[in-house]
Amino acid sequence: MKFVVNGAQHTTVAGPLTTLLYVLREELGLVGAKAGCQHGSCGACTVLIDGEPRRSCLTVVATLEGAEVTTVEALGDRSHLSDVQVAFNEHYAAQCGFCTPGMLLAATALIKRKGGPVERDEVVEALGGHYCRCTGYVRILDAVVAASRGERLGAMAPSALEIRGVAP
Amino acid sequence: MVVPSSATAAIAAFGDGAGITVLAGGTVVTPLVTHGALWPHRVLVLRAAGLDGIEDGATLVVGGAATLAALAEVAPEPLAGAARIPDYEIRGQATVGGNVMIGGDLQPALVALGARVRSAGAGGLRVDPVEDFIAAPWGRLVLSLEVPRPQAGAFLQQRRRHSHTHPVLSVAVARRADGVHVAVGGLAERAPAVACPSVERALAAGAPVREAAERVVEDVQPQDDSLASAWYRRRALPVLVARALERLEQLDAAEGRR
Repeated sequence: MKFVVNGAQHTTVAGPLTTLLYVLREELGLVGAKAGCQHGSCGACTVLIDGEPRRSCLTVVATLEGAEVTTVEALGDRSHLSDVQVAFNEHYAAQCGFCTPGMLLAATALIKRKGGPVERDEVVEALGGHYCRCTGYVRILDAVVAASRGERLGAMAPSALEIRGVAP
Repeated sequence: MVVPSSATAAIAAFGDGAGITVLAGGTVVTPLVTHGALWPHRVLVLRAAGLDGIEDGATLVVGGAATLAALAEVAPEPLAGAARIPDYEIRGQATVGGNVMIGGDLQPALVALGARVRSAGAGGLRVDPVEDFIAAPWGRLVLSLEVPRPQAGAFLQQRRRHSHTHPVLSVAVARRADGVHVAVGGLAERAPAVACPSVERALAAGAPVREAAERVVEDVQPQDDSLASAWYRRRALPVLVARALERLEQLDAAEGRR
């Protein structure tokens, strides 16, 4: 089975009923998608398949031929964060970070779908399948609305690595 | 594993359904396989079978492998409301056929609308009223649903906080040419939805909405399960039915029907 992951062609050796989540984490070492509940309820494993947010724990290899998969690893990196990632950072929308990759991808897809500013209730609707046990959601909603409007606070929270002096 | 590229090939591969696991959206089957609760012998993957078409018209014809998201785009109420129940990602993945097979949220809406189910399996192709189909769906492959468009409809659901649990109760009402139809689901975990002829008769006889809604307890046999007790269901159901019927009255008034 052949499909594209973050722009690169991948031929999996996994069996047809293996989940995409397993392929990403165990075969490709892409651990951004998190193995949470593994029955579709928590949203932590969400990736983009052909641009739409989907649960990688519910998607099996047999249905992926020719698909284009995007994981949080392709969204941005430490020096070039995506707009949504910057907004999450500025609004302190991540705490433990377990739900963050799924939230980021679903939010990115929502903003792309709407093609402009999104309302708070649209964010609630689009992220309704994502659990966060830390933030209480308010800051996540703030971040997604701000990102959709192109708003920047200009004050990035320091990363853990910066605090420890590991990264500049 | 079989991945047929046409409906005909899918029907042939399904045969009488014995020993075959159908994988459409994967929202039901995949977790069972992942967690070792299901070890399928043969898997029929519907991805490329062309069963996801939707024909819009006086009767809506929805392919069994159409997603809930696609259904919600075109369906009339109460069906659209039922299709919007799960979250965004699940709606884009879960299919109409799977939802009907597992006793999902679509069932009461389809019963209230008088939908028919076209299916394949032992004895060949069949078209059944949805109520007959959901009473014994096993061994059938859902090819399509035929949904007559109503004059108006409403869908209401009582749930626990978690969006993915089975509903505590769901109520679908539809005004069709021959009167108001009422159906309820969630009477027990995975129990099929049922029509409510006592409520329908009371409405046809001119009973006020709240009085007619009380009759719902004559039509259902709610059970105790992990979500709610039968006692609670019996108490809450007339309230939900009345609210759905009031919503229908509001729609009728807004559109000048009565």
